[in-house]
Amino acid sequence: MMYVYTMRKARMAHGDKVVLDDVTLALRPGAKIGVVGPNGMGKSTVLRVMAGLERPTDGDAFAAPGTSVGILEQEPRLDDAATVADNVEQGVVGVRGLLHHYAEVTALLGDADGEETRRLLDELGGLQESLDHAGAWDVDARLEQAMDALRCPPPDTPVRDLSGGERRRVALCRLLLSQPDLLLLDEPTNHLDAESVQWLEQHLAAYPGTVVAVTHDRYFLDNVAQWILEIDRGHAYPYEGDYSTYLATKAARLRVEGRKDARRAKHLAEELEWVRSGAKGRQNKSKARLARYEELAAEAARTRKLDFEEIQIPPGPRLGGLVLEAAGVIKGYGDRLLMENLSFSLPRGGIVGVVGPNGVGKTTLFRMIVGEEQPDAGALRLGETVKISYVDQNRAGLDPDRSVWEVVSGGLDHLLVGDAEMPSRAYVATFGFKGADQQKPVGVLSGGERNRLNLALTLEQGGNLLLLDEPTNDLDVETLASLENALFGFPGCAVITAHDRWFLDRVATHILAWEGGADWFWFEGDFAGYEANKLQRLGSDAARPHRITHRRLVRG
Amino acid sequence: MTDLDHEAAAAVSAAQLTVVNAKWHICEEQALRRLAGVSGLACTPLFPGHLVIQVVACDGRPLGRIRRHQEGRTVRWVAVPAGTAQEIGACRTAHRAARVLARHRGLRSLRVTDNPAPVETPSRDGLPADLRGERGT
Repeated sequence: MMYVYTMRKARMAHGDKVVLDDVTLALRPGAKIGVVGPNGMGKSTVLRVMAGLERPTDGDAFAAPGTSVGILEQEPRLDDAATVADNVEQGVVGVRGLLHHYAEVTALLGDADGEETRRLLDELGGLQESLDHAGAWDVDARLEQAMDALRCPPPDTPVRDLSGGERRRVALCRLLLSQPDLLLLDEPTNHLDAESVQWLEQHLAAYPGTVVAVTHDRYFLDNVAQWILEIDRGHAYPYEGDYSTYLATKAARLRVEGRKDARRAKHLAEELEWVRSGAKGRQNKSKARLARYEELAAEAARTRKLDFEEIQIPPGPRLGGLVLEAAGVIKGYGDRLLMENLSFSLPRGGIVGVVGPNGVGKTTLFRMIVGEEQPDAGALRLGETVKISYVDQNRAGLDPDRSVWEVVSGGLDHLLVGDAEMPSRAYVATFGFKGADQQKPVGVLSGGERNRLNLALTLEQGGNLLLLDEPTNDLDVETLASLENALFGFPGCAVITAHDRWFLDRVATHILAWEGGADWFWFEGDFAGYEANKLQRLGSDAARPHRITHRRLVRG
Repeated sequence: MTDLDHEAAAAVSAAQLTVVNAKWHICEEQALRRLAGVSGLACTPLFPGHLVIQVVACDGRPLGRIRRHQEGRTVRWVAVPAGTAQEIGACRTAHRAARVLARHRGLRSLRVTDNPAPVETPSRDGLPADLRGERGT
């Protein structure tokens, strides 16, 4: 068989970290591969090697001759002097060139005769094959559709004015349109909302080339991947099948090998149990959580075990009847209306997943809850017993030269986490910062590491209402599972902005979803339940992502 | 030219390409229809009267196209499986290229039947009129 990409006995190290240790693998044409593994194991570096941006120090790594390779990096490069439209157009520049050439050849055929006709027809045949294969005949429609589905910023926006998330969406759009034979994606679902992720899933499942995606999005892995490649301490373990199959196969492998990795085996067993519980079982679980707040609180007070392997959320003060209530909230910025008549009531024990694209007002909602912003009309009421744990997304005030441990502990050996004292190094370790990682300066942390640090700082505050802004971004699957488990046992409430549907389905008891303009919908249930409800209420067109348009704010 | 003129010219040009593409696929469908009743491996010209591009089928099922490609004095026939843009062979004869397509599909080498198109074509040399563009358009 002809492989698209081959790695033979590849070895590579970054400093003292082994990224590839004698790795041999080959990628089949058209294969869809999800790459998983703990944070900091070099998954992004493996992608860069596949893209030819880095070379292994030993062994071979090469794409098949004539194979086009494209990569979406965590921080993609764009033409900063150009607009969004110009950058996206670069993805179809090859196709445009072919179309132009095709038009030239058909024009030349008008005057051709004899051998010249034969030559031109041969050329036209080759062009036709290339254009058919590239889907060039509806390139404008595909470009529009991709920009819509990925919610790209307005076409005439200068790229230099874009946020990090917007840049990634533009880069992803450009890359998908260029249709390389080997498509390499580093966390493609980051900064995409759930609807865009669903579109991307469908697009990649039907993608004609090979796709290799580093991702923590477990539904994405379930719906797109035919293979899971696990990168762990320099080794690459391939598993044939989707994420659910991977869980089962890996659990069996650990059993056979008799590995003493009890934590990992426990996570696998829990995720498998959840996968097998079915939609009804999952819904019952989230309803049960709301019904048993008292039980949760009593249990948390009784069992204060110190587990230094798992994320722990200290129980805050006991919640009263009122937690968080929005009544007819209206909020706008400048002439943009973000929320209109937003009303909901968060019950004790409730965990709300706030879903919607960037820029629709999720962070503004958080700022209103903590009191940094006020509604333009209506009221947002917090219960008297509520104590909020929140660290602002932009992590302002963190000294980039201080170590992770110093930032979390303030230099103290023991920390008061909620009302329980624990060794500060052990607390930091539960967020995956073990050994030398605790001494890393904050300024050099990867996206996943920054997110884990943010979680450590938030949960340390010991509140009973957690506000978590995109806590799932860049987190490895094990840290995510640990966070999910910590939330299950937490006798409090949480408002969480997230786009990870698996995470939302596992933890959310309610969904607050943006539905276009200034409309938000409050739903009791998990994300899958919300999606079904939305389809029923609004029809299938509403489920397709469209570019964001804001209603103008009319005051008075 | 004004911006509007440019837009109009671009729209006309795009429309012309769409028509050419549609014609091409109509010719391909007609070729496949001609091959539908032929058993075994068979090929027929895409454009009646022009052997440069031929459509290949086996028992009526499309396998791809073969193209006559000339560089200097050397003539080679390239095979391109259906639904791809990948050239998988460069053979001295059209029949060999047709067999390459068959083998690519896992079919054994077979005798090739030529199924020439009936020349019922309206244009002066068998090419669909729309395929011949005009210079300067």
